[in-house]
Amino acid sequence: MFEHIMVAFDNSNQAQKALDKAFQIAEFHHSFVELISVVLIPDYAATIDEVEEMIGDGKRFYQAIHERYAAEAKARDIKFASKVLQGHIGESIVNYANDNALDLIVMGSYGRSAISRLLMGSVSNYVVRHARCPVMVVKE
Amino acid sequence: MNIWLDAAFWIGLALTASILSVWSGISVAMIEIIIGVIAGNYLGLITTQWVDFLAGFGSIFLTFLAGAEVDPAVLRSKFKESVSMGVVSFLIPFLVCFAYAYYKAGWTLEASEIAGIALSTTSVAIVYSVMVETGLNTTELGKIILAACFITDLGTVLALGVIFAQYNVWLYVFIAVMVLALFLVNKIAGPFTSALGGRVSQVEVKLIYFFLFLLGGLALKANSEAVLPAYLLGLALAKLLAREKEMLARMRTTAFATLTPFFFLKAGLLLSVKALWAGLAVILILLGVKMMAKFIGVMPLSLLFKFGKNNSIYTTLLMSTGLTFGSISAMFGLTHNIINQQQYSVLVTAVVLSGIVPTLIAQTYFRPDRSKKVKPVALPERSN
Repeated sequence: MFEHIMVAFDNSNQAQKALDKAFQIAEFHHSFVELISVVLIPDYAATIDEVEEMIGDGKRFYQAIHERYAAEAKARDIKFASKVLQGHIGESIVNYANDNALDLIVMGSYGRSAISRLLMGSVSNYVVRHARCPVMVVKE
Repeated sequence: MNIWLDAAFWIGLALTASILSVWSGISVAMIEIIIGVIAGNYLGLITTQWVDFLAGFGSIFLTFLAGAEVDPAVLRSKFKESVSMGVVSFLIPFLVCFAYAYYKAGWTLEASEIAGIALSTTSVAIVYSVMVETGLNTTELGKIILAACFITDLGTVLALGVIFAQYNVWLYVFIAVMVLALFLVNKIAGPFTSALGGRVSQVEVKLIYFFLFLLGGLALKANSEAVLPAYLLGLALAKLLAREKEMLARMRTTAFATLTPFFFLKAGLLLSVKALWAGLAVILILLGVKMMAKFIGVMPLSLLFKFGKNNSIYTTLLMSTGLTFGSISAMFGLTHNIINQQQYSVLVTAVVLSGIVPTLIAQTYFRPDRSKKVKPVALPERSN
């Protein structure tokens, strides 16, 4: 039923709970879990360095965490892959999910920066509204 | 006057801008300008000599970094397309915005030239961040756009350096020393860094600072602008700095922590909100004129190079963006009494808006990556 599950992950408590839930589903359905984190690229940057620094820092930050969860997935015999994307968070998650014909997106209910929430609503709202597949929002 | 409390206040503003930047995902430069506007107009913040120095050094250093970001391989690979697009992307907006300011807005000749320069710019950084987001930076189209932006930047710094220079003996001294220094730096910086670099005393960084100040000082003597040698010095060292990532990172840390905040805060501080409201119509017209001029220049060439209609509009909109060089040009005009505070406020606001409006339109309606199909990832074999 859920062959390919994506977990949108920002390392918040909610995201960790979402990943745990995704692992439970994957164990039950023998699904492939893909852990996706998005590095936010600054809007209207002043130098290329500023952009590259944010991407570099973000990738380093998430890669270490992804490796930890890859080990956990292996121990639980779950097919697992991870990727760090770059861009606007909600949009990147939705685009990746739509492009890769995912069966389910699992994510936490919080995560977006305060001003983005104010202007555009939460990431989870955005994903629920724009994704073509079912979305599971894990509450605290 | 208590210099340390003053410094604490300025750094406090820079710190606030950085926190807001992390919180909002908006570039720290943009937020520093906005905080500068608030501090200058409502908190009574004024510049001092040491702030002017740090801000000036910040603008020179930003320009140096912009020059160092140029990838000569990218420039060479699509030379015809990138150079022609870069030249028209600078020249047409420069002429059109100059003409509007001079003939319609009634600005003086020199003030109109500043308007032309400030609004002819393209923000390489904004273009780059948008392209990284869309994945375009690795495509042929992306590389051409980026290389064209470097050429536009070069046009801006050349115009700033040449148009207002005094044609006296200092100009010849400046040119001679600059040519010699660029040649020398190109030859010695590599071996110098290998022999003496990587030490606590940061010898190689001091070498770069020395040349930046020397050439900046001579440019000033010739009534030219220090950003011209800074950009060319960056260009001359681009290959070395691409190799010496650690050195670049150290220099960047210094710049972003202690120099560039002063430049962007000052850029905002000098902007008068009263003048901004009074000149709102001119701001919008200048923004429109800039975008229209970019369309006149860049769009036909993009079509000629068979980018396709959607990609051509996207390219043109990206090349209509501006921020750093536009602010530097306007600041140059104000500090050299070429433009007044009203004109400065109008120009900087138009420049900041040109960083936002074309990007939003391009990203909302013309993203090339949203029109193509992406191959789905292959699922792994099931374990049971």
